[in-house]
Amino acid sequence: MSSAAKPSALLTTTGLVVGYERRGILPPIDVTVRRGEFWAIVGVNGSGKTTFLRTLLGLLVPVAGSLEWGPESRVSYVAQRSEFDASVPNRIEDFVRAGFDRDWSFLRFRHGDRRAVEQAVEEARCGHLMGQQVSSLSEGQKGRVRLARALVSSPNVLILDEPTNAVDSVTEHAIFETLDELRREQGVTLVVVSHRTHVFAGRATHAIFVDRDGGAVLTGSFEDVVKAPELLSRHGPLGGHPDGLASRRGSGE
Amino acid sequence: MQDAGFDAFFEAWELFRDPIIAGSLVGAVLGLLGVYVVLRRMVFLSAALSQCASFGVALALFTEANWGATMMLTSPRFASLIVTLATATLLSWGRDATAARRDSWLGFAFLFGAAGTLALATRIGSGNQEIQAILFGSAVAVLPNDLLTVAIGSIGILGLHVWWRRGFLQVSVDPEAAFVRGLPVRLLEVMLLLSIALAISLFTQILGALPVFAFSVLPAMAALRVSIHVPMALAVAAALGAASGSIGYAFAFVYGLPVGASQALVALAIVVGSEFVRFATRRRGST
Repeated sequence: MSSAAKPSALLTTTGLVVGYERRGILPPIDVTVRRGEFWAIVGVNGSGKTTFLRTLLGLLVPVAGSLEWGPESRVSYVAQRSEFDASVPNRIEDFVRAGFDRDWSFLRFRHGDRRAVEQAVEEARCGHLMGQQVSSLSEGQKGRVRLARALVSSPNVLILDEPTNAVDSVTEHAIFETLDELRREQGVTLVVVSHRTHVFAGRATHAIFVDRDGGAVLTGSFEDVVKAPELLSRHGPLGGHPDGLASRRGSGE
Repeated sequence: MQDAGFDAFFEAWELFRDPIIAGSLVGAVLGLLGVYVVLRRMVFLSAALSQCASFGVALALFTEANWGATMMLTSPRFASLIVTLATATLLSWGRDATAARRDSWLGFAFLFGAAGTLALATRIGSGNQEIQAILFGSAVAVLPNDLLTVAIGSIGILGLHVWWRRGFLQVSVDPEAAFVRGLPVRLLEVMLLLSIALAISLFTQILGALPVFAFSVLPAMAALRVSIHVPMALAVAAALGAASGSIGYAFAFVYGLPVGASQALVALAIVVGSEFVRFATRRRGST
């Protein structure tokens, strides 16, 4: 395919160095993310995946280089652990509706919120939970409700940080099926961090492998990255074990 | 001391009308703001700011007693406002600090306000009694000018909070998600903090630090226990705050209690009541 036929870039990073307190933890990263792509961010625990993601979201300042979101991009984010304070009364519909406001939209009166909330919970397959308190949900249900909140504002880029970290394999499979459907049917671009790499097999189109200890970053098509000699020599083949890369380094960050 | 009784209270309604309206308004506004205070886990902030507001009043009285009423600083209202807003602004700069460090600075502000107020009180002479009133609350009589201040302040602060409610809620419940969606998080947080500081500064001079602190924490605590969502908690907290302000005043008259202490005790009783309601509701839900 010629570059002219490619969809316009939603995100471009050029020599982006991520880190903390002006100290980079990974080599420069150059990627261009386009509509309908599924980017898997993989690496062992503590390798810099979340740092990279938080830099993309503007929650961390880049150490060097640049990142530019395209003018058409509407980004939503599902954090690894959202604040689910049991002392805060929060029904599913209220929690999801909170994702509706963008920019200064909170100053305007809104119409059609209810329909947007219903559609989002339907897409995230948690409509049956409406009316319940968020604090009463299981981890898998919370994951779906977080996804619904991210979807309610009709994003075209969905960024998820370990969306299935605390769920069983059946729920994990179902959540990734939902994400894949959103990409295929609505063209939503996905950028997903997970150390359980098997979930990306057959779904992800692109990958970024980050290795803080080895000072390495690999980017490209998913197939190319997971077969790269640098990665294979250090970690062996990916995707074979349910715990993916985490199984090779023990557990915990 | 013999209790006056409720009959005597209602007979003298004309006398107590303004303080009760003032107490209700202050309770309602601080009750609503208290939901943000509790949600953002900054309960100690309102304690620190109310002490700093007291310090501002003490500073004005001290300045007047020693150098005469020649400066703007000798206006208790103005001095209290400046000191409280300055403290809130300084504290807002530290929002990125760790929780432990933020708490430490809140402790610093509280102690600065409390110790400073008590130290200045010893140098004011007859003003000492006024300082005691500010610290513990003695809104026995509210001047028409004070009632006007409460009314204008309440309308302004409530207006802002109705208008920006969704933004304030988002930055209080999940600021990172709000930032990613492009909401002006920094501005919202500063405006929220300044509106709380403004309310505490205005109301501390009229009702005293004790009831102001109580209203900015206790009604919200109760409301969050009995509400099913946060917007409902805002309304319930405002209603409970207003009830604490008015009923507390009536109890103070009837049972001969200090007004501020009586209002705080009513708010405490409401919290205990909300725990019973919560317990009964959950028990009924589980059977």
